[in-house]
Amino acid sequence: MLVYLFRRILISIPVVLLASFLLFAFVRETFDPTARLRNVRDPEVIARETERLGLNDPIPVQYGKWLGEFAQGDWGESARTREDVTDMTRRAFWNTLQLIFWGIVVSALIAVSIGVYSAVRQYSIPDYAFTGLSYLAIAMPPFWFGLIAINVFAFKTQGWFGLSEPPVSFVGLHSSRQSGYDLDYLKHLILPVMTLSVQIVGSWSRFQRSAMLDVMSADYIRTARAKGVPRRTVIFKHGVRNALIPLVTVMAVDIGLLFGGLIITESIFSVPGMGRMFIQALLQGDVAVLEAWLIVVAVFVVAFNLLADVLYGLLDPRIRLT
Amino acid sequence: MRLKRRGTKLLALFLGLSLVAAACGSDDKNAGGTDGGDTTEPAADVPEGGDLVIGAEQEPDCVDWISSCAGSSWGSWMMGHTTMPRAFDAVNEDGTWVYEPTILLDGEPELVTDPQQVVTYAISEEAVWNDGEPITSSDFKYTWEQITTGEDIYDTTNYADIASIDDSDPKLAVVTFEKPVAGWKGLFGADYGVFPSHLLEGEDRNAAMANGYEFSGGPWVIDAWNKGVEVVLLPNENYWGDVPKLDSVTFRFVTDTAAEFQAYKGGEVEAIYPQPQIDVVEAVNAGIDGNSNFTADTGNIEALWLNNAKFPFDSVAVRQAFAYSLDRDGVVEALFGGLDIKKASQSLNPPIMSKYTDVDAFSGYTLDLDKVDVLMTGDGWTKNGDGFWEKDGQQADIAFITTAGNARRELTQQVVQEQAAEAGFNITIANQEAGTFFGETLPNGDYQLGLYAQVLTTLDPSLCNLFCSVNIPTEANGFAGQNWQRVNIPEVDPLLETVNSSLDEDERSAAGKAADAILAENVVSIPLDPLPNILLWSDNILGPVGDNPILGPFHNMHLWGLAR
Repeated sequence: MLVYLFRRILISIPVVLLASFLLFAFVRETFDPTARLRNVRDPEVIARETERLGLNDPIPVQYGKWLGEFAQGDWGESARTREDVTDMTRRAFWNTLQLIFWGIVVSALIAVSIGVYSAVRQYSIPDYAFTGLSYLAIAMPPFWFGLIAINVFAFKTQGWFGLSEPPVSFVGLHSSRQSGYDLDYLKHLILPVMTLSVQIVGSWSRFQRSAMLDVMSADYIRTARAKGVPRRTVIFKHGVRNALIPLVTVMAVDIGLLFGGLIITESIFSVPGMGRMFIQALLQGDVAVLEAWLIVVAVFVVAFNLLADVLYGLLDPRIRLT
Repeated sequence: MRLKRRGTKLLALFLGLSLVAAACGSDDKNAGGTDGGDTTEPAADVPEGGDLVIGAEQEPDCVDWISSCAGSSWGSWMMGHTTMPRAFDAVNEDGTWVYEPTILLDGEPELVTDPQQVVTYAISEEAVWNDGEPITSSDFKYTWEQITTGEDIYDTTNYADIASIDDSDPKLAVVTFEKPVAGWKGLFGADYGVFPSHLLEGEDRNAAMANGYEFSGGPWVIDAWNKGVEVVLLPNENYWGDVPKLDSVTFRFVTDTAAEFQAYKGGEVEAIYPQPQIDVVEAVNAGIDGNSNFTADTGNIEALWLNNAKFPFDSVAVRQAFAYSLDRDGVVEALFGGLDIKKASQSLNPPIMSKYTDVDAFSGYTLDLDKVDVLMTGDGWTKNGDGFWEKDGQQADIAFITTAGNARRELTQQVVQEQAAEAGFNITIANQEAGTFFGETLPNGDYQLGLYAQVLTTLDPSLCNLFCSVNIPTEANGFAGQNWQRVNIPEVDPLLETVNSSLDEDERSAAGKAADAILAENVVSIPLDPLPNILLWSDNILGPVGDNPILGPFHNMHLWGLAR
């Protein structure tokens, strides 16, 4: 196992390096970080900024300089705000992490429940309903759902129940000048988590249903039933547990991808996360921020892919990682 | 005229960078003060207390006001105008925007013009920073020195023409100019304000200010700037004018327009100041609770900018014909009819510059296809089989460029394209990312027809920047000139120079109007819409809420209150 882990990590390093170089080169070739300064009346500002950012050096030299500093913990400065990229990334990452954590927890609970129920009650009316809703959820654009959710759960419910203010909030993760993890935080989480979860639940529930159906038709399940094991025990102890194995690995891969940022969700609900940071940096050609974003995302994608493989091996003793 | 960036979100305008003039609001006790700009209702007895939350569409990059990173309008509106002491305010007097000294000054500065221009600012004895230190002439001098000698300064215009500032008397700043500067009232108040020398002298000003600062010479103090989330202002208890009645003001960053409206509707924010995009106009038209103020009397002018040096607009006749091919009122109505703004602008000066403007300069250019035919055929053009004008084997093909992702401008392009096609001009749309458009295409002259807005940041027309031949970007000046239209009309240059330099207001006004007439006759570009400002605020907000085309709507928040 350890050898396997070590080998996978070793292979990942050149992949991440190559991706970071390609991103660096594409951004440098596509965006001019001094373009925003062309309306500045200081005639020397572009020359100074070019010198500061090393833009006259060949791309590999610029990349090498950036990589050397990055490896020493200096992630550089934002070309736009001159803010430390480490601070920016840490802040954005923490906001995105909160959305991801709650979104995954909620999605996992709902998706597994729906998937198990649908499999156990295959071809029932609820099964068909869940199937239809799942496809609808997968097809629904998050930006549309997010705005509809605000309209329904904030405004319509306010009207239906005669409330003085909407029961949920949808700007940021806290009310102004608030912090902490309290009722206010919960009110702000509901809608973005709902928006994030919709497509994930749609996808995972289908997967769980399929995995559950596979497991429930296995010989050992038939044997357990024949032995008189209670139905509930058959479903939850033997069925669900084994059906979770493939789902967990899918979840691990999907979670890794989420760290790239939830651009739409963060935009609609004004959460300053990795997605917003990425878009702002991309539009300005802020290469230091983009590289930091890439490294963080790549590390998490690789880590969670690795986790998926390891979990598979841990959960299924028949599998040995070599 | 200085360019200004009002928004950088995907659908936002990108207008170039500049800073907005700001001022403190007036003090009822001080007769020399200003009234805080245009208001919809007079200051009433508003209650004390309450925390106001306002939606902000954009977060600034930095708040070192003289640096190139601080070009965001929202930054100025939120933090610049509320904390930096300014010399002059723009106020509306009987429908005309004029400069008035703020309570920073003890009345109108003394102006001497002979033998050279000298302006003496008498600083109010009561004017202090929030730490209790007096605001002095040394602060004026420090500000000037930083602008003219610092690195990465956005714009040194007019400051560079100051020869010296005598600060021997702490309450008298004697500013001597190297040459006449007509726009002197825009100094120390138009874009940058006055900086505290006692805190910043000897320090790295940019490092001290870029991410927020604790000093203030205005009614508010920056309490917190939570990046990506909000800016919080608290009252400056040492402010020598009207101390704010509110306990705090928070600007929450809501960068998505749809979300912004939802936030306003749901009461998460109590005021918004959205850009005049199509969806905004539709939302306002569909009905929204609270109060609204939309005005076309702004410092904005959106126009069709023609490259006078590039085919086919290198011909006056073609430019005139193009102007006659458009129903400009129809375009404006399509964009802003929902706000009852249906008339096109008739000058390349924004509406608030009416004093220096021939407000009817372009009024003769209405849709007239017969005139198009006469002008084009007179210039040697004929229509080809496709119905487009052609001369010497070259068809009148025009690439029309604006900032990509701006829905309002894209709609404008479609309407113009259709109208122009009917008149025989073949327009293709080729939009670009804002940075490329403003940073390279326009300065390098790689365009024929462009659509963007000029946004005024002072009450000085500064049309010479745009249309004097000396400001044509060339390799010699590193393409730094702002005359992107390559206008080269010898009789216009001295008139626009007079507007820039004459200290006689009547002479400036006459020269400006005369210049306008010549620019219109030559159709150097075609004015389109005044780009209205839209302000929405809830019924909970009391006091003189309104917009100011130079200062924005938040400059007098210290006079506001909350009903609950």
